Amino acid sequence: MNESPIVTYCCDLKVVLLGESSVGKTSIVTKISTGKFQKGAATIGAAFTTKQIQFNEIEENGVEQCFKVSIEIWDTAGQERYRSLTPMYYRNTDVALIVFDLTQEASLKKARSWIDELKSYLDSSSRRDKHISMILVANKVDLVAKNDGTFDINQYLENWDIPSEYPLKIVSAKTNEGINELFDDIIKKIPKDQFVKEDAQARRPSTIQLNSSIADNSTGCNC
Amino acid sequence: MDLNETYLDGAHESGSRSASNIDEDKSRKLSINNRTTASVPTTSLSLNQTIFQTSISPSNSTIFNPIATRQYEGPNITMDSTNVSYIGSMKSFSNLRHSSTQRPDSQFLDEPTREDGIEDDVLGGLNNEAFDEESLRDKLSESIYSYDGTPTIRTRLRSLVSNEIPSIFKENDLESMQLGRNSDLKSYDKNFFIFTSAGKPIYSMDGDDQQLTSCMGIIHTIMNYFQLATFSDIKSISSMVSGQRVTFLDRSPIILVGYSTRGETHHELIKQLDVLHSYILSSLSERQLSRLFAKRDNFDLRNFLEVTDFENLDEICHLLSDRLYPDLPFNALQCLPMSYSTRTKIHETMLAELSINKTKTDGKELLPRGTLLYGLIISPNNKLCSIMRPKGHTLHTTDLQLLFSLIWNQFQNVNETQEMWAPVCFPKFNPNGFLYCYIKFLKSEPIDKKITSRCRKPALVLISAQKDAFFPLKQFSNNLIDVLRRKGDKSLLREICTPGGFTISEVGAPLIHHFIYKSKKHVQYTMPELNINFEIPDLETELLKYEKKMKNYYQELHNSIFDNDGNSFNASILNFVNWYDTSLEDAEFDGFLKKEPVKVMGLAWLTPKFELYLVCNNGVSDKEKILKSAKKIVSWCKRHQSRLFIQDGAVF
Repeated sequence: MNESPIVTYCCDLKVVLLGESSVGKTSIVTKISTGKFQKGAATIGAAFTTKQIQFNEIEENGVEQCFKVSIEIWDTAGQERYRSLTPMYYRNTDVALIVFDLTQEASLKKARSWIDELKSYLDSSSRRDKHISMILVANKVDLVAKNDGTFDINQYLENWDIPSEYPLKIVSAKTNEGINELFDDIIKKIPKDQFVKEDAQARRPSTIQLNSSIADNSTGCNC
Repeated sequence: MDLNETYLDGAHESGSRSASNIDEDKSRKLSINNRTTASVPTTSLSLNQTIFQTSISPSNSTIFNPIATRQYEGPNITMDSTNVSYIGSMKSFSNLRHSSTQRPDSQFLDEPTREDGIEDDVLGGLNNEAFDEESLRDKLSESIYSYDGTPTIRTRLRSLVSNEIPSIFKENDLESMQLGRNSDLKSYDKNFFIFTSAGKPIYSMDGDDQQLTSCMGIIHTIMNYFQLATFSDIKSISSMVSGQRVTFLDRSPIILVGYSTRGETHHELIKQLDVLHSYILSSLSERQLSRLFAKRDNFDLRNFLEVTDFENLDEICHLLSDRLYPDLPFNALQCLPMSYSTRTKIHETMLAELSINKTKTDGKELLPRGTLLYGLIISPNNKLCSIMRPKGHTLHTTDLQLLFSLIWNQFQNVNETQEMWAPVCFPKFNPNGFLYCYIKFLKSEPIDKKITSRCRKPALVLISAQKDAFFPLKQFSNNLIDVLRRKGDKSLLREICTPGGFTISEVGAPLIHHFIYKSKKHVQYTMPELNINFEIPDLETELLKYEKKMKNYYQELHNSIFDNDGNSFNASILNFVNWYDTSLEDAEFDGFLKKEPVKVMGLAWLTPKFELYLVCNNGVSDKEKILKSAKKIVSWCKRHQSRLFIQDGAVF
């Protein structure tokens, strides 16, 4: 039996993390990019990280396909005073992770305000694709869960009034619970038509990407 | 009314003043007097050719007091004829300083040093055998240890004669400081307070809230009193007896107060307060600040500042008070020593890359003109590696110092895969607006694992005025780093990541422990790597102690030639300072060896072109030799100036 060559497909995915300060946005990013957990200082401005994830799929005809996703993550500062900068981060974004802290109910309220802001941004912007998939991420589950296995997250969140139209993911950046699943889920949901064959992308000069981003900037408002 | 203190008013005859005289009724209260105009010794000297010699007795309440010295006008600067001139026409002056020690006799010695280097007056109680031992030690220390930089030798012979610099300053040991975090405000020997013009506390370096509130109330009352009484701001209150000084800086709507017993001058404290104020501006910008207070005078800024701001203020206060941080007192920056050709190559690469990225392709500029304002490569320990700047523009040192501390404090956990985008206000550049900094940490293959694990990584910083310039700058940075990695014999990137620096032994200046050389033309200073054994356990604490000690020496050296307002006493000064500790004279043998007596000599040398401050090895007292070494340092620094300092940078 001949081994068929593996075809590799690539895709860029832009992710932005939003949410109140100290809910653990940076910790989630650090966990996914380095596998480590560290309590860091508050983010100033924003941090840009790229992470490559790849997975293989075997189609029905037996051809193995490799999908490479390079995720570009904008980890923003939750602090109020950097709010004016955020439009730059969700410009061109595919996925917005709206993070809140399971130990702080007030952070959910902030999360709602982020959702509203994103919605109004989408309505007003001249983006071709008026869609950002928003995912609610409830972090720090390790702090509220009991070890004896009797913990029921649904019961815990019963009175929390969580917006039901968005998927909710329960994670812990400290114990790694749900982190990989969260990103796997995001990747699996990318429509296959967004992937391009790797050699095709490699031939593209790097400058084009930059041009495209400048072009997009020029269409948006320069505020 | 200028309320700069001078409580040793008028020309007291030094001999007639006794300790009890000083202690009289003035001892407890803070004294405020009008300042006399004599801020410079009236004996104006062609100081290019003169040696000042200063003796300080540090044993008791040693607060080095430039104000007191300033008052010793003409007749009190006694020319010491017995002090033989060393070099040709040079004269030696004995410029006596003292504070209210309980041993007045030892302070007024007219003859602190004899030519053979034995300070018999100072070491009064010792017999002749002791002299011999002393001179033997002197000779030993002068001959063997001057070149010694290797830890092994030092450790082996430490017990006999060491080239460690003893500490003669009042020490607040770290443990008690940490234990005392919540204790009385009075227990701190240095503190900074920031509060609003309405009297609401914003920040204090130490002390708990409750004490703070009452303290700020008092400060607020004092300040308001002076504003009412004379329509002029109070600047400083100090007490000569206890060596306390309280300095005020009114930058409405913020008021900053510095308290210190460490002997800083008014000018130094003001500069430190200015840095703290600049930090607040860099975080908020002046415009935002005044907008906040325009609405409500009694606005509580603490609610607006973030945890990071308080952490940064803590770090800056720590840097200013406990670390060897010559950047601020010397108003200069330190550069990463690097060969001239390498640095030139880096700058050429930057410029070439910039022009490539500016060229239009497909009718679009990759990096449109005006996108990039400044580009910097910053090495760890606040050293500047190279700079890209527009023609005719430079960044103020304070702005750079703030940027450095921001980068090293805030982004410690950032790894090389991450890129940061942070708005920062540069208060000396434009206090009303923000600039945006693209920050990326650089990494090359480690050459020596041990070094790289200890050192932090250098960072590339690209500064723009446009808040959405991240992606063009990111592209530019990627291209630049890529070229830097490929170019050069050893890869320029690797050169950047190699911790540069030199040791005192490279300079070949015998007897010198450490020095700071500032080139006025470049507004940069350089100094040898700290002479500390990095193998010792508990390195952090030891390093901190060492830095604090050196900081004290340099502070006193600096203050010996600059007055309270930060003006130098003369355009050219050569000033020897001698520290000795008499308390160790009759020290018992502890264990099996007697403690080495403290006799440290330092030199401050100011000319229109450079400033040199040096601290000699303990026991060295031959001024002729010290001056010879100082000259060697100066000529070494001049010879290597293209390596030690950034000449121009990449100017576009």
